[in-house]
Amino acid sequence: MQHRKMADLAKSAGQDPQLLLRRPRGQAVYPHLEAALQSIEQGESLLVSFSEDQDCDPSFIDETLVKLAQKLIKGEFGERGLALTGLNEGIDLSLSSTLTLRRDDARKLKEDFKVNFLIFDNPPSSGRLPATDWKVAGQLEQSLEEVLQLLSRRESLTAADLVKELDLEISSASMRLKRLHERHLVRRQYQTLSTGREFVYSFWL
Amino acid sequence: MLNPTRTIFVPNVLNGECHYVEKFYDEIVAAPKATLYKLDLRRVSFIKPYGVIALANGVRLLYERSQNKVELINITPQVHSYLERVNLFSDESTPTFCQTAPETIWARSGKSLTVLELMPLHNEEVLDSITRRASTIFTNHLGKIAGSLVVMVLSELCTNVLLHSGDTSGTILIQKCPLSSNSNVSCVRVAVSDLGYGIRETLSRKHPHLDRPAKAIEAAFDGISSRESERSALGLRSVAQWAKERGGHIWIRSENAALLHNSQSPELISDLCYVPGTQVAVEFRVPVEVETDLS
Repeated sequence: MQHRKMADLAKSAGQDPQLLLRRPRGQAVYPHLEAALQSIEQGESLLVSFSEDQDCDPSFIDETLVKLAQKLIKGEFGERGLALTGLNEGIDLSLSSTLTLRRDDARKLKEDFKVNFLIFDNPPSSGRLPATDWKVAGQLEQSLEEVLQLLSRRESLTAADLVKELDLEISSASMRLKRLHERHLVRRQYQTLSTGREFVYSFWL
Repeated sequence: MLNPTRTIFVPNVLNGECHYVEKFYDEIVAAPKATLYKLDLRRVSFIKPYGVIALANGVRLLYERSQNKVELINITPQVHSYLERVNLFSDESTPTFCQTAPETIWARSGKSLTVLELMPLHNEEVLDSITRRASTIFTNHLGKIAGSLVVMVLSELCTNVLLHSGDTSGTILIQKCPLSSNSNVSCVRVAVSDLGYGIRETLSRKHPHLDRPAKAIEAAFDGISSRESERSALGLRSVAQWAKERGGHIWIRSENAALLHNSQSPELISDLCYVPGTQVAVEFRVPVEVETDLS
């Protein structure tokens, strides 16, 4: 996982690193954020961190993180992931409000809004996550949340694993993992296992 | 023949809900032309931030008409101290004066009244400075989440003034006070105002069908923006959501219409007297987390 501080990205854009406010500032920072994501290898993820003394409003978040996440989901950056850490209560509220309003806008247009963010309390350092050290921002169906919880207790998961763990049909298991992957919440690799070649899903770590 | 001096008796509405303040605007707009105006505040017992902004706007409008500073007279002692405390008389964009000083000058500490004084919004640097100060003061007195809320509300509302109003003398006032029924809860009041283009003119450049202030205000709350980007605006909707979730409201007035968003259905009011620009009042409640005397 490659780590970048939002403060550093803001400074690179000639913007105030503490007051992450307003759409024009977000527009100025966005190219640096996108460049940071594109600079990492395929199969890797970018962890964007905030600090306790920062303020961030929905307009800034919309022009930076949400815009980037939407492009990521469309496939513009290949097999890369994006996660966040260090959100204080204010930034958490801002992010939550932004995602709620964007989802409502999409509903009015009868469109999908699939943006979610994995948020870590602390930057993860190993292949396995403590169950309470992360959460998902944005609305996520319970069935998908369940899979993420399961995944956080293991290093990786296949559809066949999910069938055993949750007593699902193979098609349902595959669909849940695929939908998480479409949201770039999990990494997917095609691996040769004892059972043959299949997709293996894991957290972006 | 032009009346040399006109005295306007200000009704005791500057402490009330936002729609009550309309009675004050009615008096200002209806006042005949004069070379000098006086505002008689003897009936005014208390003023909330939105009332201060309205008073400042009234002064600016009368000044434009007369080209002379507006005198405030017969101010009750408490109101006088409050207006001095919020810098009404030293705000450069509010051409007003009072012949006498207040009997009591309130100390500028956070124990009795936490307020960010009336400040003109000239440019983004000024807004950043205001934002930093607001963050420090309100985080110290109310905790991080409330401090963040104040900053975000400030940012979203003031950006509209800076980017869209065309008024370089827009003003802002922020205040927190204990809720009378519960001392563990504070009420935060933010008032932002400009006397610029108004929402209708700003939006109708890109959306010509928004040709009435009421329609334009509703559209602004639906996320319609004057920007070239297709991304809909989030600012006002975010602020409305946060205020409602915290037992508060947002009132937005532009030209001759206003919209009130609170826990009930939004209420759109038309046919108000014409006041240029846009005036916004936000109120919300937060639990008191920390109290630090900054004096």
